[in-house]
Amino acid sequence: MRGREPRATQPTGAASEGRFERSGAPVEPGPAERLGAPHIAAIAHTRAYRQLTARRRAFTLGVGGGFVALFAAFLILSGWARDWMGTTIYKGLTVGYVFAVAVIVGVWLVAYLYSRASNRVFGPLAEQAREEARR
Amino acid sequence: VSVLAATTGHGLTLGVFAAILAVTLGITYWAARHTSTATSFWAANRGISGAQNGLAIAGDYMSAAAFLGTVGLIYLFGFDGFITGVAALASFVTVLLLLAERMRNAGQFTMADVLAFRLNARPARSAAAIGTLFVVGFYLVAQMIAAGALFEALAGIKFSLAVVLTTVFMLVYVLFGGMIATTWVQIVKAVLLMAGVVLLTVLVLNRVSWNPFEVMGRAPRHTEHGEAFLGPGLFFKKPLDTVSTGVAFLLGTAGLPHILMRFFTVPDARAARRSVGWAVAIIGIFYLLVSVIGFGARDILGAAGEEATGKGGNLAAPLVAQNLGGGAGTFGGDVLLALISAVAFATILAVVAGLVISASGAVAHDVYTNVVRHGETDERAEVRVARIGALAVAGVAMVLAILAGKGFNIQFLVSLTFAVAASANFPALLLALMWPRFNTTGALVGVGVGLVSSIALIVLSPPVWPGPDSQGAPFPLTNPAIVSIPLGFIACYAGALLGQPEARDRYDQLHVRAETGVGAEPAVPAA
Repeated sequence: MRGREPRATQPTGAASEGRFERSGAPVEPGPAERLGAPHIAAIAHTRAYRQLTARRRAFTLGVGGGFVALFAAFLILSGWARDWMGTTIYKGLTVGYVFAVAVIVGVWLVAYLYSRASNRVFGPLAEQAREEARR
Repeated sequence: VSVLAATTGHGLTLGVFAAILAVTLGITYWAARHTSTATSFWAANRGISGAQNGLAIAGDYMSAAAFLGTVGLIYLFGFDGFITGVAALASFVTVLLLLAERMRNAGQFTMADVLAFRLNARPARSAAAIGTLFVVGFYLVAQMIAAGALFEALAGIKFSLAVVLTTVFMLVYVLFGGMIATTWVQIVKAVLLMAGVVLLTVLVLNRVSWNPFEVMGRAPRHTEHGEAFLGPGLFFKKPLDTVSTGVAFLLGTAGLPHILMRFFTVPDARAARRSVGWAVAIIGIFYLLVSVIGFGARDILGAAGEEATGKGGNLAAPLVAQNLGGGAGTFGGDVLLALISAVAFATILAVVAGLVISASGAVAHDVYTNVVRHGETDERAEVRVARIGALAVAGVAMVLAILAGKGFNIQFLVSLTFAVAASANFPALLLALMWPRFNTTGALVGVGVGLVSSIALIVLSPPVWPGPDSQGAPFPLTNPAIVSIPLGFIACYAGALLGQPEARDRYDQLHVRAETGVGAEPAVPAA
């Protein structure tokens, strides 16, 4: 199949037999699950799947939105409140520099929170959706 | 530049660079033995770990513009230079929350895979391939011009010859070692660049008795702008310029084909998100250190150094290295200058390799296999066309870079890249993954309008519009993103409503696959 359009209905090929695990994570999906469209449609109708998409959307809007607000404030203040951003707090440290560091730390925080939410919430929900669809 | 023209320095620079080349060519030789299938050529058999891919993304992203350009901008304009670095990092929030895992789950080799999955495959692929080739083309030419200008200034090699050499070495990595070699070249380069930046930062801090506040405290003494140097407004003249550039970065990375392609090299979605975690840790530290070097450069080089740093201050970082080592003509100065220059060359090589391999995906996997041959071809032919495509794209970019010449403003091409990526590629990609009503017409109109509007507005903007001091440029902003990105989204939306609704089941399949990883392309078993 390689070299053609990717298909959700891809039959179980040789490539999916010997799955390898370099990251230590269980490689998904298993051969039994690569059955195609009917199985995929079944997943879409599970309660766990609806929860998964809702929780992920809430995270993206909440945490992502919060970060975008911080970043937007940084840009807008850098554009229109230049004197204030250039005010020295301590020696050469300005308000703007503190703001910039806050944005950098904000990126790290989002990455950490997303990773935590994925391991605790999104991953288990996706697993649950596959389980429910199998039944 | 004459300060740098010491012959011993050139010899040292070439020596260090030759050592880096030897290591990377060794990697390529090893990688070539594992590169035969399409999955190995474009996706490194999906066997790169999250941490490795994070380093490689950092290596792909920390371009010559990011290192030399940001140090130079901070040295010349102070805080505004730092804003571009912060914005470049912020873009990874967009990538992480919206695309990284979904791309890994839904795609195969290229950005176009995701669009073709649910839309009418041939037109959607063609549109995405065109978007890819434009973005990659502009970025490639910018990096090659940077390479030529640097080689000429730092190693005494003629501009056009330097561009040719860059192209040749990069092609060796790509043609023989594919994505495996490219990935490891990027990892080596990321480690070297971080080591260089850490070393320079330590030396800058050592000069001010390890008091970081002193670095910024001293800078205003050496500029006519005084304290204003530490605040925004010296580079971005209009407030909207700051905002528009920031937005271009925030959404631009999510439309860069060579960055998105990196997510196909890991075994699963978990590794994809871990790679973003590693990448933002490294890139964030990188920009923090670069800000220390940039502000430190003011104190070290002073106002008198502005001329020697060249257009856009691109040579500020190497000059700072030379100065911290003891100055021009000293042994320490020569060694440090040679080290930083060689790292800068390695940086460019790694970035252009990543760009060319993503372009080869658009040419071979998208256009040849799926548009021209309707998917009816074998893998061997696909990889052969990929190599021809890489050769062709690199050749065209090389000729364009030589024709444009070193006088061309590199920063303009880089901002063009991000604006085009954010306006043409990002809206269609996002809506294909998230919006049920999206369709082929929407993708075609969206990519087209995003591409044309961003390029047209840049041509009409002050940095490009001809005439004395760009007076009377029809478009007032230096970066079109704040106008062209909304235009891209509106065009996607309008096109979708004008076109016929398409079958819902393909969208559902894409959605389930993107969200859960069911049906995602598996990793290839290790040989």
